[in-house]
Amino acid sequence: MCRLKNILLSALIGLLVLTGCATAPPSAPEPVVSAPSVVVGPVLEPIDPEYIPEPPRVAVQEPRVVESNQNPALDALVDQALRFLSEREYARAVSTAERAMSIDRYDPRVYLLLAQAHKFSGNLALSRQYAERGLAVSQPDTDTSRALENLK
Amino acid sequence: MSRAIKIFKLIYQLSLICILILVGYMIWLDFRVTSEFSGRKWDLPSHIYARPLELFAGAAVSQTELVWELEQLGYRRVSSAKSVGQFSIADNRVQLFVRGFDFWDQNEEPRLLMVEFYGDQISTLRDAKYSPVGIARLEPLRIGGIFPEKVEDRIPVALGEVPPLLVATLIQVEDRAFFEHYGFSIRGIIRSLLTNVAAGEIVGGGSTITQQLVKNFFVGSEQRLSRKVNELLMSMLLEFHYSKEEILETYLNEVFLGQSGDRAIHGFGMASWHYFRQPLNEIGPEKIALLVGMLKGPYTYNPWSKPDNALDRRNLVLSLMANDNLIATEELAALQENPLGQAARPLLSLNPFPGYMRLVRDELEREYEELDFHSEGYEVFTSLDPWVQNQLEDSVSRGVDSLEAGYRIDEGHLQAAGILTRIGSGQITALVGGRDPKFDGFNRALFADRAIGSLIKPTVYLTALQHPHRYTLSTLIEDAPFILDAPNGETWVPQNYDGLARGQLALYSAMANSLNLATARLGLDLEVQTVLDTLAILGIDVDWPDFPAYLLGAGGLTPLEVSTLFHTIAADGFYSPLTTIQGIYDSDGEQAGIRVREIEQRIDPAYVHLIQYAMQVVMLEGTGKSLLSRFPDTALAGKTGTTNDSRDSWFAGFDGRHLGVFWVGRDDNKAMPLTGATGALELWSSTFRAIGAESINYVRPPNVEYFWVDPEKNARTDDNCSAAVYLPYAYESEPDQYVRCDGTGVVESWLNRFLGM
Repeated sequence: MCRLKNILLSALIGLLVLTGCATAPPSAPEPVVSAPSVVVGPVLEPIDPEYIPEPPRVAVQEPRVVESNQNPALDALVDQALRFLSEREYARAVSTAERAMSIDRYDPRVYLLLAQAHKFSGNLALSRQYAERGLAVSQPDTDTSRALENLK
Repeated sequence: MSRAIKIFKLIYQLSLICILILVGYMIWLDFRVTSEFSGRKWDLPSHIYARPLELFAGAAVSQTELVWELEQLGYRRVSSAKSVGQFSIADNRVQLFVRGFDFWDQNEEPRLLMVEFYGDQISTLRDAKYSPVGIARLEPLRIGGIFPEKVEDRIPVALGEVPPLLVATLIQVEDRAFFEHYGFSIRGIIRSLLTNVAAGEIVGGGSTITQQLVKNFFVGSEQRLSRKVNELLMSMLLEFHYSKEEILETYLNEVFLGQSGDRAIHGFGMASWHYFRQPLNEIGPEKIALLVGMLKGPYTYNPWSKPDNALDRRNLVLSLMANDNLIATEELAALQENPLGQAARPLLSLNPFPGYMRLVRDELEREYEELDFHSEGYEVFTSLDPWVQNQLEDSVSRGVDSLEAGYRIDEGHLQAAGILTRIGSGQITALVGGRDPKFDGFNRALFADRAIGSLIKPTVYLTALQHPHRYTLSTLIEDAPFILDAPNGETWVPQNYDGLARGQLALYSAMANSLNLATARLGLDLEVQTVLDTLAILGIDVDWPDFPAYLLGAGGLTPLEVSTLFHTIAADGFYSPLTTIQGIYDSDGEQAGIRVREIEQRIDPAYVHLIQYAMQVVMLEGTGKSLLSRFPDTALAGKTGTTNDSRDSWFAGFDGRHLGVFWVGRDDNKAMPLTGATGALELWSSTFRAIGAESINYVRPPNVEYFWVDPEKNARTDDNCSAAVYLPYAYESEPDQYVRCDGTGVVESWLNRFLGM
């Protein structure tokens, strides 16, 4: 009995030692990308030992939520394009939406307008392409993204 | 008696015959007058416009840019803007009275605007009541035209658009009895004779306005009796068929008022713009007097070549205006003291941007062949940004001079080309086809097919990244020498630019440092044809053979084709054909030749995100890193390109708004001491500094996640490791392995799972 206990105790100690020696599990890296979503990466080892580069600052951002857009000019053009859509002036809606796109090509509302205008004009393939474009820059599960999905 | 009767009968018959001939002749003249005068009277040139400048709070428009644009549009600087066409400056504020314009989507009405600036941006935009204005557009600048065969240029104006003072002055000087006579005036001839004798010079001729119109329109100015008879008869017919207002309006648009190169200036509308850079409804009494005075001799009274003659003539007309109470007598002296007011120099060619215009014409001929631009008077709106174009021209011409001097290259032998494109829309905003941007010669931006060298590398690496479970940005690839035996017995021995091999390194670093050995190995692993297929997907169809040398850029493309290629990358994988045309409208304002702007997702945005990352690293620590100090805190992406023996220097780079593609080289294809980084990149840099660079809006697409990685081991690591890099991965392609900060103890992920951690 005593021997069995020793064996069990040794096994337990051994197991504890193994556990203690095991590499501490890495904690999942905290996603640094959060609003405002700007990330700075550290420096790489330079090829020329005497050259010390600045850390690469490749700043990445999350797709924008539509409601966060604060550009009155863009809002004015979006409203105007919507009016043209409602009046079935599709060419003017496209032209106005393209003006909006030149101000901010990452606003998904612009692509929604273009997708709708082209759909109503009968350009279905082009409508789908603009819907894809809009989805690429929109947050999921928003009214805009759902509308874009319906146009795909 | 019978003999007398016979003679009488003969005379009677002859008279009848003469009358019949005369009647027949009159019928023919009448037909000629009505058929040519009714409907469209001229072959109208098509006018080509730049983009309209848009003003709104937050717009990246500097005060300098706005003032420059206003001056190009003929706005006059005053102490306080009170009428259209005026602007004033007070510190960081510009007050301007915009003219308004009938745009294709809506009208912009004339109104007073207050623009305030902060740095190089508009901070506020308000109207006369200080209410915020969302967005406003200036009228677009006219940059060219497509003219009829006779190369007559005119801007048609309706009678109601002509200043009443001009009409009154014209009638007073040229034809006082215009509203009373029937085409010709005996009294007018006598009065003109007496006036000329009193003045001691020819003040006005005896011809009526109607006769002058007939002369210009139908019979010409040759001094023959038959011509004068025709002129008289046709004048009477014109008066019979048409109203005074119609005749006057046609005259105002037909009259010859000068020559500009090979272009004849017809009509007061065009003349006002040609001499004063102002629309007709904005010129004052002294300029009206000069234009009316020039009718007697546009060459004799040309304000540039004969300023003294022009001044005397103008002042004489002003005196006549005061005599007839068209202007107040007390104003006369002051008006006569005013300078002539003509623009600084004549527009010898209404084609200030020949390189860009060549592309516009090509596109119109190719895409709108059903429209007759020589006679139908279309309005063509392009995407040219005159300010950006101006900065590009300056950067290229100065930059090439500087490179020749700095690198001791034979003077005059270096050439360059540059194209700027708005990302997303694919609209070309500026283009230069040679070191002398104003010379309308060989357009290298469109036609110079040159080997692209390392510009091909993003295509190679993008091809690889589209296989995420084989290649990621951190995949270790080999930069080591090799010899490739070709089937024809030749060998291919690629080398890096400096002749050194780097060994094993991360994929993104190989691209950033433009390593030939690593790229060639990668490309061969992918197969050359696969890379060429990617090129086609990006928008460039080439008939290059699938030889390995094409992996390092042996193939040739024009700067325009390179722009198409890189625009698809800059636009997150969405292809659009590049264009200069925003819209075309006929003389009634209706859209003509409707075309739909194409867009097509060609590459998954997730993979494009990865290659854009690598191109940003080019600018941070690769071959483009010399720009770091010039554009601090500005995210840019790009790729340099240098061909064998440095025959071609390329740079393709983009910021948040524009893609810029530049080429520098020699037309004789000789070697030069310039690389992509020391040649084309310099031109790109000076251009983007001049127009202001914006950071790339680098948005993470779905299916891309970021991880901290040790680039030497291609393994995930902790975020506090000095050697770690934060890299994007598509579709869960991040490394399985994890390594500790100190580089020891690689723990497989299966153990993590076993330990439940």
